[in-house]
Amino acid sequence: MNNLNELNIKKRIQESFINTNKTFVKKEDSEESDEIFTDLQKSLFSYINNYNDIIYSNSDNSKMNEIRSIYTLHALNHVFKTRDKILKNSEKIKHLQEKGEDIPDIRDQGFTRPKVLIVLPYRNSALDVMDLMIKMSGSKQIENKKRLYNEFKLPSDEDNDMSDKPDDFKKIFRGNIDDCFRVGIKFTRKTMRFFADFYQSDIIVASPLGLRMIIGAEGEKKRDYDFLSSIELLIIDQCQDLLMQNWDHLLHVLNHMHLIPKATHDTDFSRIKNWYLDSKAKYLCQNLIFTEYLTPELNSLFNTYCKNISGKIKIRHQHYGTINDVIIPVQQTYHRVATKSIKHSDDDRFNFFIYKVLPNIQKSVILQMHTAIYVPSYFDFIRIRNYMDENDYSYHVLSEYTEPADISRARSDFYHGRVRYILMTERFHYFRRYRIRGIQNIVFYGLPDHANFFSEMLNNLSPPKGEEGSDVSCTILYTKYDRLKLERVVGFNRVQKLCNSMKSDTFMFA
Amino acid sequence: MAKTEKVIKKTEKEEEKQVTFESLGIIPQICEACERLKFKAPSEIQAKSIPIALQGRDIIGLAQTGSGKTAAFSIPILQELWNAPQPFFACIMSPTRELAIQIAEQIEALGSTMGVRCATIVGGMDMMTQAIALSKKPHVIVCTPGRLVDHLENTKGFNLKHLKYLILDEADRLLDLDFGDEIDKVLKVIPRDRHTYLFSATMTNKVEKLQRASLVNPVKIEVATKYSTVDTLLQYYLFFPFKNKECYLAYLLNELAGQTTIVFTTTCLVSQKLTLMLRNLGFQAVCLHGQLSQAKRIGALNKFKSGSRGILIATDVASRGLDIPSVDVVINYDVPQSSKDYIHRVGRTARAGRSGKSVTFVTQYDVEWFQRIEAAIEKKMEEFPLGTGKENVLLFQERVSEACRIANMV
Repeated sequence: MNNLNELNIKKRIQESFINTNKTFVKKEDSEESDEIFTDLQKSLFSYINNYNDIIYSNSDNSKMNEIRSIYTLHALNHVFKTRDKILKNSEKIKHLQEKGEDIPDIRDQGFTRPKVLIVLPYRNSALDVMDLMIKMSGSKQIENKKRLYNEFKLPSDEDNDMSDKPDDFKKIFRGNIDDCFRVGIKFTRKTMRFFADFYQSDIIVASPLGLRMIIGAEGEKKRDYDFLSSIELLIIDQCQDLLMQNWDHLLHVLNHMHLIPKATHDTDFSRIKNWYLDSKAKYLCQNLIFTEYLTPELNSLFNTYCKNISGKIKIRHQHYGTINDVIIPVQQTYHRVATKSIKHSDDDRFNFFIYKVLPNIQKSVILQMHTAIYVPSYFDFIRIRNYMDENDYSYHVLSEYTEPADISRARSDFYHGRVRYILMTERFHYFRRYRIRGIQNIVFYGLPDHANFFSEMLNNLSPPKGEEGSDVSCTILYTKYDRLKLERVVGFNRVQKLCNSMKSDTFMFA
Repeated sequence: MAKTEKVIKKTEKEEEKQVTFESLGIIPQICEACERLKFKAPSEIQAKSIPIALQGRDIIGLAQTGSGKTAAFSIPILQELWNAPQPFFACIMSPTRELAIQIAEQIEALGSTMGVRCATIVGGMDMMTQAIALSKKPHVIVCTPGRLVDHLENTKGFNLKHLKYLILDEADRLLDLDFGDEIDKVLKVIPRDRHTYLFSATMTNKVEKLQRASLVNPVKIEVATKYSTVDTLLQYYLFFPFKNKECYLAYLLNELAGQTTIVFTTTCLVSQKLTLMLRNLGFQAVCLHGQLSQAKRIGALNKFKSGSRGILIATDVASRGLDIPSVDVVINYDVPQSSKDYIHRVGRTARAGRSGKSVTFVTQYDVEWFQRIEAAIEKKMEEFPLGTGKENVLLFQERVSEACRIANMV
């Protein structure tokens, strides 16, 4: 795997790739080596270069940059391969025309020029990828580079103070975290141009929201999605963060891919590949999806939208469970909520919560103070909030929409025992990562998708002063449809028992 | 179009009887398709023009309505295509969209055995879909002139530089000034070295017009004398005061109930109003005119063709070429503006040897026009026999006025 020629990598990017990728290769072995790829890169690239669909999940986010490096290589290589072919054919046609000979049927284009779409959640990671492109592209001149840095970096005087936050938070929210952007990148022989018109671009780097804004909704006057008609390589990176944004936007984008365009966009119709004409483009589009963990949404996306005839590969890791990271002694009670179908699971869970869990808490003198209720979904959050409102519970809410002033008040009231309950969402925790002080009991209405949030919340429990840790408790609700989440928390060796055991519906860990 | 053996039998029975598609030199693939389409023997125009076409000459073909002209030009080009297949081999132009669609259907039927690819390029339909169809490099394009020019100008990568055959169906209409610009534009971008066929039931004699089509040493094939209608057609007129026009139409349609009828009007507005009025009176009428969207036009035509609606109210868009075998009666609600239009309109019935009748409404204002038509077709028409019904006509007046009033409210 050390000969880039054999891998059909274009000459133009070979050297620059080797130089750029050195940093990752070195990291593995301290000595200089002849290797071009790291082991992970080698195994992934053999599939990527083979144009297979891939969904890759690995909770170890330190490999993120290695992976970006090879998919950027693949994206550039794909663009240059097609570009060279088109130029060669144009030359041939011109030559034949001059000689006055018949022109054979040459089909080497899509409806529109953009061939690669890279979807990323935030400007910071988009800049990382585009930086890699600049380094690898071998372009002599880069247009609009200054504008790129202006728009994708934070001004130097502005910087978030994140000193007290966990590392993964720092990694996600460093720099510019705007989630509405789209950049067209155009390659010519020697130059590379950012912010090119989409119909002149080869690669589009964008966030779901950024694309959604120009695609528009049905019935809107100004809509444009023709540029998605001829994407041949779709890369979706950092799905775990995209899931914390509006997942619908991404589905909206995917639903507008590979459609027959509304306008011609100056395409040479005699050279459009036949599968585009027959609306079969989605079967010849490679999809690469990278995520820290799998969710039902991702599995469904991979099964529904990835139709590549070259086949698809799912790579996943076994999770040993973040339950091992819980340091303080706390009794964890897992309740399996019986449910017949996924359709009923929301109602069943809610009823279980209000008839079984809440009354238990209310009954106990100790439990009914300092209790946090952690709700992954905003919809469930609203439902519980309404219920608590109607029944005059003493509570505060913390959601991703709560104003900073309200957050401070809620945290302080809760800490001092002026309210009994605090109701929070997963997204609140994802975006803010506050340490909520004074939680003695925590109820997970559902498990967090980010498994590390589980251990974080538990380690944050504070037993009442003067007594030992036995007074903190944790209650978890789950259904059989939460298997993926559950595995990440309790580990693959326990999940089987928790999901399938016939003996009992309640499990205790301490 | 071309189910026509009966007509032939009437003329020169003995001589024509032996003529078969095979004997005209047609390849077995196409003969097989003809058989499937139940074409038993070539019609007169087919028998005369196909051999000449196969010799590679340009043709001006003139034959009565419903005598199989479409097949007369389709068969030779398909045969030449079989011998030397290439994309964009032939381009067939028609003045109306519906006719173009019908011709395309016929080409596909005749070419089914040889796998011919045919694209229909007409206005009112999605440009993109057509661009994709053109991109697939069809052998034959059937088109209306305006949309073809649009594609030639705006669809990159599409050209007709290698065209071998150009056919103008309803050539006299296409060579009229209305289509002048478009035809000129097309002629400029296709090779001079090509074959050109002109076909119609009525043909202009003006030399300069024909020159525009730049034929090379053409053979003129006339099966009928100019301006004639078929013998199996019974032609009548009805004379009454202008103010009773709607009433007479309602009465007549009532009398003709159960017969498939086309009513021709001069303007889109009148056809629309009449349709609404007739529907108010409980008739199953659909209308077809140029101001409808193409989807509605095709929808209306299909309803009429399939027989789910028995009455079609149309302007002259439907007057040429359309082959609907089931039509029994043609009513000229307004007297046609020219004798040519008259011939084409009444030619929608009595096709391919069937019988049919036509009724032309004549009011006090139309007498002169009507007499000119009579003179042109050299035929004296009879009044439509209403029998004893004549007094009863005006009994409808009250209900008709009411229906008109409701129709006008829209």
